Amino acid sequence: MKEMMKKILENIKGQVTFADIRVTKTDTESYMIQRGSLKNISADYNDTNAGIRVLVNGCWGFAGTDRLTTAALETAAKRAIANAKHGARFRHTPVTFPAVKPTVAEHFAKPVEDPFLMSKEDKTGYLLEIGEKLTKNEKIVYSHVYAEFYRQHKIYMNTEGTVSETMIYQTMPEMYVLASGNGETQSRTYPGHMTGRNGGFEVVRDYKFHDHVDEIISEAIALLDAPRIEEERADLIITGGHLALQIHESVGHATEADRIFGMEISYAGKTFISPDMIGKHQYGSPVVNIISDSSDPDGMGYHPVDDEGIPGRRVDIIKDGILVNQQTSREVAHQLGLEPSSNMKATHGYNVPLIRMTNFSLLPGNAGTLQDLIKDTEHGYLVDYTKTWSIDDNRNNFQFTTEIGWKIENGEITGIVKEPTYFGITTEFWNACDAVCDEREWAYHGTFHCGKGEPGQAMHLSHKVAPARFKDIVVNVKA
Amino acid sequence: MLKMKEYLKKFMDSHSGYAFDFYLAEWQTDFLRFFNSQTNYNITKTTLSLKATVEKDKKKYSFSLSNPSEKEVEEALKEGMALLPTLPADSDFAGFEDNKDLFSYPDMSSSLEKVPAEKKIEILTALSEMAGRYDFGIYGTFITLLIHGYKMNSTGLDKEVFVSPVMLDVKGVSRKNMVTVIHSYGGNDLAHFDLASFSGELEAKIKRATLDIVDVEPGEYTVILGPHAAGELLRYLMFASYAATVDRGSSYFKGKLNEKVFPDIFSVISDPLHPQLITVPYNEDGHIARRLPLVEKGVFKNFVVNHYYANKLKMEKNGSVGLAAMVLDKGTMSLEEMIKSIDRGLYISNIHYMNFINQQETSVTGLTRDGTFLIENGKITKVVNNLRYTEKLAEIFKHTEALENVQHPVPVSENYGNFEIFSSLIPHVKTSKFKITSSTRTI
Repeated sequence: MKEMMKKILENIKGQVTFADIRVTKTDTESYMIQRGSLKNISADYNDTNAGIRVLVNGCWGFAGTDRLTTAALETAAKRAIANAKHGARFRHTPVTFPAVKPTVAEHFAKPVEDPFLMSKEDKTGYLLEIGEKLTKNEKIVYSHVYAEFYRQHKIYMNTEGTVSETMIYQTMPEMYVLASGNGETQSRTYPGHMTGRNGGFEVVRDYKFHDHVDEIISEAIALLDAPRIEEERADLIITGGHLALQIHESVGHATEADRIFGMEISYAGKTFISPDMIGKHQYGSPVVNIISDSSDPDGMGYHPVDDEGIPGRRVDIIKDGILVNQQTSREVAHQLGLEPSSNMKATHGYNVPLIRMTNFSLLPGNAGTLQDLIKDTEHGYLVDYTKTWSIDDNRNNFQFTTEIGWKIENGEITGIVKEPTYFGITTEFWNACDAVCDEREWAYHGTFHCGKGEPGQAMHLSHKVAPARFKDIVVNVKA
Repeated sequence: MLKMKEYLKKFMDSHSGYAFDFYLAEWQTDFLRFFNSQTNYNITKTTLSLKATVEKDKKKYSFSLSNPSEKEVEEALKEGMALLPTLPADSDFAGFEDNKDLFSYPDMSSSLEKVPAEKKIEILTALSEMAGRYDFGIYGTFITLLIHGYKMNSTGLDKEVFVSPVMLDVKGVSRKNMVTVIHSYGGNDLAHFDLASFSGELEAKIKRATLDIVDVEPGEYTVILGPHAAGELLRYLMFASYAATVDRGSSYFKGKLNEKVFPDIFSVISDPLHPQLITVPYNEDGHIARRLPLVEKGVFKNFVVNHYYANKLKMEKNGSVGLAAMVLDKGTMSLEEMIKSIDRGLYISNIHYMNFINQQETSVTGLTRDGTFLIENGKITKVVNNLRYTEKLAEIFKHTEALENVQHPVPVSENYGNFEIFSSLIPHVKTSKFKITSSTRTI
């Protein structure tokens, strides 16, 4: 395959300013157990496709195909060039960026328990056992256990001489219960919103689902009678997958620099950030330090080279509360006078790369463990387990609801509240962050479902976070 | 593709102890993304995929293969057949869709050929020149799509699927302050597209977007929902009309069949053959698409019931494609009359990032986008920063006071998985007590 790809690039080199080619082979398997019964096993094997991206006459052209013969790839290359030439007729500012030194890299991950070698019967059996336990209470009107297994082999090559080959394995499981009573329904999930991790079936075992079945059932039922938050404002400790989502939505997407130029206005949206804010804007309090780190192999966003030939790297995005950088492509980095941050990714060969989060993480602070932070909180709420998330298309106004909140009084948890809903303006919210727990609580939370682009791509990425506290937040929005 | 189709038929016929369901489809798109009145990417994408389910004794296994050879299909099917005895049965499984009615296609030509790149560039150049006169850039997507395939299964169902729509989504964005407006076209082809009209309508929106920008306080407002906004809010509400949500305990309409829920002027129909909509020939199971009134004169009339849930919930299946072809009946007022009738209120063009807080209660939160305007003394007087609403969808439509006397086609792209384009026909909706809970302080 590499030879074929090399030949395609050699053939078109004289006609393009820059070109790259990616081939991916993706396998996925998913299992859905509903109400204790297997509803579906779905598999998508050998999803093999390629994309050729060319820069001609200052305009990008792209062609994707699932035919991987030399003839089909030659046709795709011709089509990509024709698309660029057509597109250039409606282009007033040519795309330019400096060349980079070629990189040759490879990375082959190995799961502890390869889910694609494990029998489907064994996987089904393990998940069914959890699913059956979820049904053992009459107030639980719906439940499911879901697990998705993924592996992708990718070869990337460009006209600058960069060649990269990778194989990754990732797994994302969850369980969910819906309780009904008093004319309403309340839900609980485990392990929460962002459950994707690098690895195979060991990821499912590591979550210890069996140990949490009783907990989510009893909490879902208890939520039916639980009060809502009554205060206007309160201190919030946000943790787990929900804090990962908070960062994802209000910092991650906001600092994708293609949004500054309106390249994603049509669907994903814009950003409140303008180029003059970089290096000056007080995005958060001094305890807020956020990085984009595609060089960390523990995170799902790891790559040795991104999908336009930039080596994986760690970049400070927010340092001591100040916005210092952006997630960029080569094209927009050049426009902003920045170094490319290695954030260009596509989900499959036949999709165009876009600026995407990789491992986008909140660095740990010095507030001790979560227990220490709770003890240090006089009055407030601990929230996790996302129920609703929403943010405007400038990434400035967000509102989140979690399934459950725990009331904190004088450093102790004293009860639960249902559907805690909080609202904030991005910069004010991150400036209200007064504490981040330390390395002992710092862990990755990942998703398979970060949507962006047209045609849409659901990207796999992750966030490493430790619980953090936010002071005096609006907490009682109601429909 | 025809050779593969024949192979699949033969395989089905020679393994009579099992039941099979196949969807073999070729998918091709030319997708021009543009920003700031210039091309971002000009994309072509072609795939062929097979989705297959094999079943025996209520045990089933599904898989997808991309551009597979006959050998790969055979191996995957045999693996599935060998796997079935090891799986538990799904007691609710009732076999595959058995409706044999065939859709008769009036036209099977590809929009990719009818609207080539040159035509797209010509249209975008004209729109860009118009917008440029107001110091606005154009941003958006111009999509031509072709899905051609075959759906067949062991019940004898054997159907050709062909859709090839066109979608143009244009946002006019001020280079001065980023105030944004949206105008869209979607259809089976460009037959109903008139460049002069489209450009004129977009121009009128752009002119309105040059007004001064203000912020408004949270509170309850009388609002006019533009067709994009009304369509999206209605789509979220009508999720509750799917039998699947009844099964999951999250349907607002559960227990409300034939109950008066909305005002008399409110009727919603799923109408896949409506001449102004993108045609949807079959539902996802392969049942021929049928018209289905969902709400008639405010009364909730029908759930969308497919083959699986018909069996599971003992309901009658109706071949509906649900929200893939949604029509909200028009009313009697013109948009101008609706605006004139409001002393102080809002015009909301479009909405963004809506999510359920509690699906059963229909409580949601989301934001306005692509142009929010203040109405004062019967006139649009200002541009308003984008706003957050936190509301119950059912309440929004219960408070409907008037519907426009014109319906507008609103294309909707199903952006993930297999990219598809649907459309709705939606008039402007005037509703009261719409809860704005905060401002985004940005445009």
